[in-house]
This record gives sequence, structure tokens and C-alpha cells, in this order.
Amino acid sequence: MYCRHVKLVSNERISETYYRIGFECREIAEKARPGQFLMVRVLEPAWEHMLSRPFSFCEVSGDRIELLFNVVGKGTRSLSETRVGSSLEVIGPLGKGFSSEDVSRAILVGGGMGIAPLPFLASELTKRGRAAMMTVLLGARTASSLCLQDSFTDLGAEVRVATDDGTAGHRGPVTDLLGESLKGASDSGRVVYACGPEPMLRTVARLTRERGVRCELSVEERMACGVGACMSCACETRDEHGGVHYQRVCTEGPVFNAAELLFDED
Amino acid sequence: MKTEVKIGSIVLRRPVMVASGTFGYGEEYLDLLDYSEIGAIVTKGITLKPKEGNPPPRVVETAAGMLNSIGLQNPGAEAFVREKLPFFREHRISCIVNVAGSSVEENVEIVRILDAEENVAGIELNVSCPNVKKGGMAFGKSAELLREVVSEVRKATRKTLITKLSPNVTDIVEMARVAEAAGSDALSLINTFAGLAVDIETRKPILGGVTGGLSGPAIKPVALRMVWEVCKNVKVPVIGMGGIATAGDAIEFLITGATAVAVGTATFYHPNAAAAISDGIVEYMEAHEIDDIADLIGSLES
Ligand SMILES: Cc1cc2nc3c(=O)[nH]c(=O)nc-3n(C[C@H](O)[C@H](O)[C@H](O)COP(=O)(O)OP(=O)(O)OC[C@H]3O[C@@H](n4cnc5c(N)ncnc54)[C@H](O)[C@@H]3O)c2cc1C
Ligand SMILES: Cc1cc2nc3c(=O)[nH]c(=O)nc-3n(C[C@H](O)[C@H](O)[C@H](O)COP(=O)(O)O)c2cc1C
Ligand code: FES
Repeated sequence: MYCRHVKLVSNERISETYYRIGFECREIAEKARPGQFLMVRVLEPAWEHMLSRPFSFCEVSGDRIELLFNVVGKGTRSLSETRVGSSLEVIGPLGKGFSSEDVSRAILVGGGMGIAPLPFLASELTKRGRAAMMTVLLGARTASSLCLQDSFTDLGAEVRVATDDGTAGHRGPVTDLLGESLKGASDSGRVVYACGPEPMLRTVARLTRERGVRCELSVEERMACGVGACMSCACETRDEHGGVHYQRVCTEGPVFNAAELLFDED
Repeated sequence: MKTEVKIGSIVLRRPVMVASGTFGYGEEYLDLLDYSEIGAIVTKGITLKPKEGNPPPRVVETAAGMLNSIGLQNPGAEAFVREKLPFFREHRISCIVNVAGSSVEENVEIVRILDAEENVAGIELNVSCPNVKKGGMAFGKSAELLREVVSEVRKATRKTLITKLSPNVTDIVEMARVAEAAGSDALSLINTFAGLAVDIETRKPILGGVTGGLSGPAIKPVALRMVWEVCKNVKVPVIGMGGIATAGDAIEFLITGATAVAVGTATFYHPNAAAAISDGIVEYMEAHEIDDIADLIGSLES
């Protein structure tokens, strides 16, 4: 884990509220694993957003790290306004990422900004020779907020999309597509990876549980430290004996086995 | 140059510690901060039995600060001793354990367990947690309860006993005097201010625990005023905290009378804060030709 000041080398607006930024940091890039995250802080003192914000590694290649984010509040707004050449403070790599061992067929599901950690995961799975057997399901509100499809098709993955308003692909939730993809023989090497809003994760957890398919979910919680020191980022989990405990999203997560997680309805 | 200070029988090489609840059990920041720069680590509050804490969300950012409602999630005293304490010996850093039992008996029992441990340098008795229903701040708000819990805990240990005071009282000086008279070797102040934040869309409190404790730069002037009042009225050393983010902030507390300071929330957004502050104090002493930190402490001109 490192805390470094990095210089922004790119900042690109890719849809109405989505931005992609890039910077270089060899130490962090070398250690980063898909599903892990960084705590990011804009350096100019701004007392209305003093704490760092967590963001997933979107793409990592060589020394270069790219993040994808949605402007939802004051911290992400000020990040989107950061100019190329100015500095950010980043801490990472943090947390426990996706596992990529023993995967023969991968289904990646991203809802909205939940797409963020998937390109890095897809290229990692490709390096392990799994590209041909990779399906990526992306959900968005509308066609114009779909992005990064190329980063998957370039790897040879099949990409299917769903939009709430039907302006691209299937009209309806992306989990409808997952239902279809899970039909047919289930083998032990099949893994579903998902990141997105809680209702989507809940449905993904239910579908994979019903079909006995291994499933890893990346979840979000508000954080202060990002390194396991403050106990802010509690997430309710169930152990193998049925005991319910809070675990830290920043340390034991953000990726959990779907079976461990408790959703509001459970 | 002498930067060493004493809190009870604990010798701090530098007068800067990290505050309870903001530095886990010490190991979390190993990659991010030079531990030789800090005098001691105060652990997250511990209870006798493991405690799950409050439902999320547990933090919300506010202007120049944050509210937290962790609810003392911790593994319990025995697991702490077994799993967390060895770290402090390995890394030769003083460990002050924040004790947060919900009754007098529970506090006494925890302190007995800790008293037997060589690697515990001192006890910080937390009578000021705003985020638990029982115990916590209730002790720190009533002079009677405070006297009882401090004097009973005092009987259970010969280690340095620091009482951590709540700012959520009408007269913090009265509480400080009571804690001193009941046998505290030192006082820590302040803990967080009870606060509230509301989501205007759902019209619900944002925090799972409804109210939370306010910390960070926003509280510094109030913390400093409280440290000033208390230092004028007690003889035991005071550890000042509340919104310290720079060496200048820390020096303000020292001048006002604090023997040492603790850095809390600042570590979250600047992991190296405590070490940088410690260094900054040394630089200030050099620049002002102060050879002994004792000449700085309590040097407020009036
Ligand atoms: C492990 C992890 C990875 C993430 N990866 C990405 C990513 O790659 N791209 C992306 O756009 N977003 C990501 N998020 C969500 C992102 O951190 C929040 O959208 C962001 O913190 C909002 O900050 P703000 O100041 O704009 O919003 P505000 O609402 O003004 O923030 C107020 C406070 O709430 C916290 N907060 C608000 N929403 C969230 C949230 N959903 N999760 C956690 N904390 C929140 C903020 O950090 C801040 O402390 C991730 C969250 C986590 C936990
Ligand atoms: C997330 C968080 C958890 C805390 N947990 C504890 C605790 O367990 N025991 C305690 O005595 N104080 C606790 N505190 C209070 C701090 O130790 C400190 O007194 C307070 O935050 C003021 O200092 P600061 O403004 O530098 O953070 C906590 C504070 C924060 C922000
Ligand atoms: S954010 Fe501090 S423990 Fe997870």
C-alpha cells in the first residue's frame, strides 16, 4: 500500500456525467489487482470535501492507471474539474479484489457505474487465457450512458447490453440477460462477477444461488480511512455457521462471495 | 533538543500520539507513516465481549469535519490481547488501550485483563463515547458516575490511567476536577460532539445510528478553549485533541497547556499527518530556538 502524489495525464468526459482520468504510478500499478480500489483526494484544500473518495481500478497497464467515475456529489465534481498536470493524492492498492483462479467461463455484469472495475478484470482473465469464454453484460439507464464496450470486444469477449428505456439492446434490467446466460449446463469453472447498484446485486446473488454458480460481488459503503482503521465501512455478512457479522468493505471487501452477503430483504 | 514528555509513567519520545478509533489497532498504517515519529498509539475502544457496532452508514462528511457512529465495533478484550497486542511489542511502540465498557464492573474487568499485560503502556478510559446506548458518554456527563468509574478502575490497575472527557457537558472543568481527584494520572480531551445529519430527499437521518460524533478541523477552536480551561484548573497532564491537522494546530494546544496532543480525523485524509506534525513541531522549536519542549508547554501569554 502506498500514498503518492500523482500528476493527472488525462481527464476525459465520456458522457454527460461520466469521466475517465489517467495518471502514472509504477508502484501502485505493479501491485494492483482487479476489484481493488484507490482512495483519491483532490489536493487543493476544500473543506467541503476533505475526505478521500474510493474508486476502483478501471484499467491498469504498465505504469498507467485509469479510473472511471460518475459525478454524483461535491467530491466527484471537483475531481472532474481537475486539470491535466495537477496533482492528486492516491492511496492504494486497497482491499481484496476478484479471484481469477480456476475460471473456465466468466460472466461479467456491470450496472451503471458498476462497469468501472470490469475492464481491468477482463484483461486479467484474458491474460490467463479465458477471453474466448467471457461474456460481459452491461446495464445502463439509456444508450448514451453506455461506455467502454470496446475495451471488452477488443479482448474478444461477447458484450450484451440492456437499457432501462430500450434505446440500446434489451429493454429492462441487465439481470434479465444474466438469467439467459445462466441457462444450460452449469460447470464448476463458471464464475459470475458483478458490480452495480444494490437491487441489481441482490438479483445477481439470487440467480446464481438458484443455479449453484460461483459469484463474486463488489459492494460499496461510505469510507473514511479506506485502510481498515476506522470501522466506518461496515457491511453485514453471514459466516458459514449462519452467524451475522459486520465486515469492512475496505479490507475484507470490496469483493465478497455472493453467499456471504446479506441484502436488505434477506 | 528535548522533545520528550511524560504522561503518568509513559515516556513519549515525541509529544504526538494518534487518537483512539482513527488508527485501528496500530497495524493498519504501517505502510503509510513513520511510526518512530509518534509517541504512542491509542487503540480503538474495547469492550469486554466482542461488539458488532451500529448499522451503516456510519460516517458522513460535514463542513470541515465528519460525523461518525461506529458504535464501538471491536473484537473484545481477550481477542485484543491475543491478536492485536503482539504488534506493539514487535514494533516497539507504546500502546495505550482505550477502554469503553458499559458499566463500572465491565470497565474494571477489562482493566484487570489489561493490567496483566506488559505491552500495555496505559489505559485511556473512554467515558465519552456518544455512539452507544449504555455507558459511554453517560459516565462522562454525571460527576457522580464519573467519580465512581474512575476510582474503581484506579483500584484495578497501577498502569497510567488517562480519563478521556466528553465535550458534551455544561462544565468540562468540573468533570476534569472529578476525574483528577478520583485518581486519573492524566486527562484526554476532547472526544467528539454529538451531532446529526439529515437526508433531505428521504427526510431520514443519514447515519444508521441516527446521531454521530463530530470530529475534524471544525471542532478545533472549541477543543482548544476546553483544553485551556482544563489546564488552568488541574495539575495532571492533559492530552489535547480535536481537529488537529497541522503542526501549527498542535503547537497551539501545547502553548495552551497540553503536555501532548493526539491526531485523529486528519489521518484519514492525510495518512502521514501525525508524523508530519511531529516533525513540524521539531522544526518550529529549531526556528524559535526552544531547547526543551517543556518551555513551550503552557507558555500562553495573557
Ligand atoms: C470500493 C469502492 C469503489 C468505488 N468505485 C467507484 C468507481 O470506480 N467509480 C465511481 O464513479 N464511483 C465509485 N465508487 C463510489 C464513489 O466512491 C462515490 O460515488 C463517491 O465517493 C461520491 O463522492 P462525492 O463527494 O461526489 O459524493 P457526496 O455524496 O458528496 O459524498 C459524501 C460522502 O459520501 C461518500 N459516498 C457517497 N456515495 C458513496 C458511494 N456510493 N460509495 C461510497 N461512498 C460514498 C463520499 O465518499 C463522501 O465521503 C466506489 C465506492 C467504493 C466503496
Ligand atoms: C471514526 C472515529 C472513531 C472514534 N472512536 C473512538 C473510540 O473508540 N474511543 C474514543 O475514546 N474516541 C474515539 N474517537 C474520538 C477521537 O479519538 C477524537 O477524540 C476525536 O475524533 C477528536 O479528534 P479529531 O478531531 O482529531 O478526530 C473516534 C473518532 C472517530 C472520527
Ligand atoms: S473505511 Fe475505515 S475501516 Fe474501512
